[in-house]
Amino acid sequence: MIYMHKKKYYRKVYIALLITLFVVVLFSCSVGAADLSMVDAFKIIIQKLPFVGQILIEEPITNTMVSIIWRIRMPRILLAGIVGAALAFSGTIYQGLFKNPMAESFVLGVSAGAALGGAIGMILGISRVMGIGGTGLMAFTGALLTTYLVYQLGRTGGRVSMTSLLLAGMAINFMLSAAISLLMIFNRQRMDNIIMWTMGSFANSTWGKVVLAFITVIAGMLVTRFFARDLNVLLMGEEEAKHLGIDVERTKKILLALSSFIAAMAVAVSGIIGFVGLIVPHAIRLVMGPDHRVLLPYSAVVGSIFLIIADTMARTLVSPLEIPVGIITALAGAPFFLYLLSRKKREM
Amino acid sequence: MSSKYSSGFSIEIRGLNWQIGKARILKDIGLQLNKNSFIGIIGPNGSGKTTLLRSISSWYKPDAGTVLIHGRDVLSYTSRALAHEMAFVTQNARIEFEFTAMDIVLMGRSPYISRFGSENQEDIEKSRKVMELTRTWELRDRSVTTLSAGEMQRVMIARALVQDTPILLMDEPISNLDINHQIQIMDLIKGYQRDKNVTVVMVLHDLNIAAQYCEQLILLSRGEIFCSGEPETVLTRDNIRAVYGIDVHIMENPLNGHPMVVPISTLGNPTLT
Repeated sequence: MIYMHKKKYYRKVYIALLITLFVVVLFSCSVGAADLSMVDAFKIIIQKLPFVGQILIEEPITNTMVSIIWRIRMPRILLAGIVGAALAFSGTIYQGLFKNPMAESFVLGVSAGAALGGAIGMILGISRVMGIGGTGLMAFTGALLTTYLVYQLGRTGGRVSMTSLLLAGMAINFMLSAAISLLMIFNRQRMDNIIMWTMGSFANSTWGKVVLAFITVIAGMLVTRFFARDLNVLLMGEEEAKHLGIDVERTKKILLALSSFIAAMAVAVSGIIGFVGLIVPHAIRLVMGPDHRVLLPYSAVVGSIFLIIADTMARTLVSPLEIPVGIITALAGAPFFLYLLSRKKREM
Repeated sequence: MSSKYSSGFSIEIRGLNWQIGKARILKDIGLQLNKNSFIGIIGPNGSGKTTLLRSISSWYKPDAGTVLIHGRDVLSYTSRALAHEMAFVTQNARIEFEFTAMDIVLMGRSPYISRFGSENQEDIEKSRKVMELTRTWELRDRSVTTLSAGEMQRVMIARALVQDTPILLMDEPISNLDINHQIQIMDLIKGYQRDKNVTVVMVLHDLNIAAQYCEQLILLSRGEIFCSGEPETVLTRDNIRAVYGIDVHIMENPLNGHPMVVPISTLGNPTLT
């Protein structure tokens, strides 16, 4: 069966996933220190809908409940959802470009660059700009600058070798990690903050961040959607892709820029959350096949669901303490990674 | 298909040079290849066969000289426009992703599909036709990771044919196959070339296959054209000794009159000793 013939099936499963996402959001809204029911959560969300909300739900709901759901839990859940989608989506692009299921959102140094940028931001105490704090802005800048540096290092003449990119990415990752350690040693009083931030957290979510991340990430995804078939063709190898009419170097450049932008945006609002960009795309590929017209949108929704659940666990498991969400994703992700490795071994 | 080009050569090469560091891989290559012909590039390993093919395809950019495709510099085409003129089949293609055979063949239509569109009924119909022609239709739902080398090569050829181009470039399309598959695939390409009046340029290892199927042979030696022309004039005892450094016996193929090359062992006749 080819893509065109399975389109209806793909759409049905996708709708089912979207419904699952909605249920997960509701469920996550209802758990926490203050116990609420999913029904109440649902009512509050409906009531907040523009125009129809007030008409559909007339019964009064206490202000504290509204406040807990709408001011505290919703932005956090939505931000986790957007970041999960962004990381899984950018991971899918990288895995396609590198033709390697071990690639993830951070291969080109997005994470190390963001961590260094974030650490500098914290040490200098840069204040808020445009809804994200100075730390986030510095992280975003650091991530993009690093990717650009890696890209320039991996380039030889007019062509970009994906292997050199991967190696340059690794080298820069090590170098920046060393720089971060050095910064922390000279700024011991900020060490805790920096370490906590690099492990990722949604504790400081705001509606401002949600709106900013939503608009930018969705825009990046919509543009990428038009390159999904090109990504499929690129899996044939670069020479073959050229003969199939793809402008290989230009397409790679655009896709690298898009995926780095999306990953950097995610890191800027949440810190560094690993493994989402690795395991989600891979799992979807195992189940749904390698076609990026399916992989990209599916990874986004499943990444969303995955990170919302992980963050819900992060804030409730040992409440009132919080576990950094990156620890949860790593705990769930590492065994999966080992499973991949064992599958690879069997193939060899 | 090729009727839109009423005159001139299919491929013309002028003063082509290509080198890596100081090693000159191609030296002053000049060629004019006619439309609707079946051309074989032969020569020992390292003589520059694949490099020449990749220069024609524009994957390699020459240090000097030009390649003209239908009278226009190959480097002036966009990838998409060039994919309407020529299709390329590499040697031992392997795909590690679980696309179905038909997914792969449909990718041959991508030069015709807009960025914002997807395959239409016509693309699917054309794919079905070439898949029937290449006997890959029954493989359509199989993952390409499970195909044998012969099946895979037929899928790759189907993908090239569905591109509907007046030129087909092939780099040793049969070198890893058993003789039955070799003949199947050569017959298939030859039949297609005659029916559709396309130009085929193929790198070949096997001199006897080359003699049997090609109208023109280009014999390369150390990056230069040693000689070119009809198989009878190229495949001579002297030429082969000069280029390959071995003695051969040339006889006439009793079935079709093409030259046949029988290599002579340096041990004399080992089965008798």
